[in-house]
Amino acid sequence: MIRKIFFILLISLLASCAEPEAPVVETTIDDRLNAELLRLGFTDGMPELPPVFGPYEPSVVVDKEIYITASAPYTPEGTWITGLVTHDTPAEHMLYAAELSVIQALNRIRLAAGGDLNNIGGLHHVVVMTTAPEGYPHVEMVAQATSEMIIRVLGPEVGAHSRSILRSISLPVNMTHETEIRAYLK
Amino acid sequence: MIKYFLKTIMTLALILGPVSVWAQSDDYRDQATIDAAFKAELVILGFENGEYPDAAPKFEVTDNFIHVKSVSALKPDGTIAQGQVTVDVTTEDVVHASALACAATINQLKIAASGDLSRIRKVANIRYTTFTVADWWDYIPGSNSCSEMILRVFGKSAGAHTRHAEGHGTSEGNETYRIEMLAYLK
Repeated sequence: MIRKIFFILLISLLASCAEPEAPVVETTIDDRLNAELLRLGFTDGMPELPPVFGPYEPSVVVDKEIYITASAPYTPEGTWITGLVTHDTPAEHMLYAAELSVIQALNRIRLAAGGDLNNIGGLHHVVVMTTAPEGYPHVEMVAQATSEMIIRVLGPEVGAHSRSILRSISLPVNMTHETEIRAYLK
Repeated sequence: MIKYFLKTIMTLALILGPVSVWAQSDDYRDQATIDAAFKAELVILGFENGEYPDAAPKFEVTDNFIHVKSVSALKPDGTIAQGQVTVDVTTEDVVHASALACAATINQLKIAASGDLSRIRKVANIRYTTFTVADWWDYIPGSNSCSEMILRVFGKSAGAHTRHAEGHGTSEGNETYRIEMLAYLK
């Protein structure tokens, strides 16, 4: 009997010593997008799409398939990040350009999805386009950051994607970087 | 005299008004209209009788989805536009090469659509590839050359598209320009 009481007391003691479980905080796509926007300096939420450079569309929807035009980095100040990546370009600069171009791409997808990223069913593929020269050591890291940012916003299920890195000798209007996302609606 | 002038203006307004509205409206063109528009482009490019020469298929069709693989800028004399931008050719040459590659791509769509371009429901995405050096980034005129032709031939409903342009420092066969396209059949 004494042994039983001792055993129950021991279990109770161990249970009381265990760390309390952190409360699970449910976040929405909009919450996560806003957090990314704030982190990148967009204090007024998603910016308006800048005008395109010719007779083409920022996005096209066919049935449930969403196509977007390759998206360049557009800053909160309303300027483009231009200039080729060289071996002297700091990783942080390329990372900032990549993250801003993800925002542009998500913005185009959002508008194609009726203004709401919750209407996205999933992603097919992401293309990370860089002007980095051969041997530039941070391309893989930037591509990884691009994928992680997309998954942070859309979540692991909707945001899961295949990815390719495309090295372009230069990009239109001397853009530093571009991102293209192929998505589909629910 | 003034009466005659006003009468002429009113007659012209009556004739051109509906034409202008039609041009801006979202409608699909019939086969004869699209064929005539494509023929006009071929005549301008110098193809005899506005007819495109026989070409081998360079596309894949899956259900109603057409993927036109990388298509070259074939000239009316049977040669392909060659040379690296700024080294051998100019931006104007790129504009012309883009129009030639665009005509070749439309011809591929025609083959995929069993000879009837009015069966093309939507041009979703165009990828432009230029053979260039790193310090050239004037891609817009070349891209616009084809984007405008697509809209002239198909109209806005079927022809409005997304796009992407990239440059490479090497090119198979020294080719200046190539186009890849994603489109849908009705």
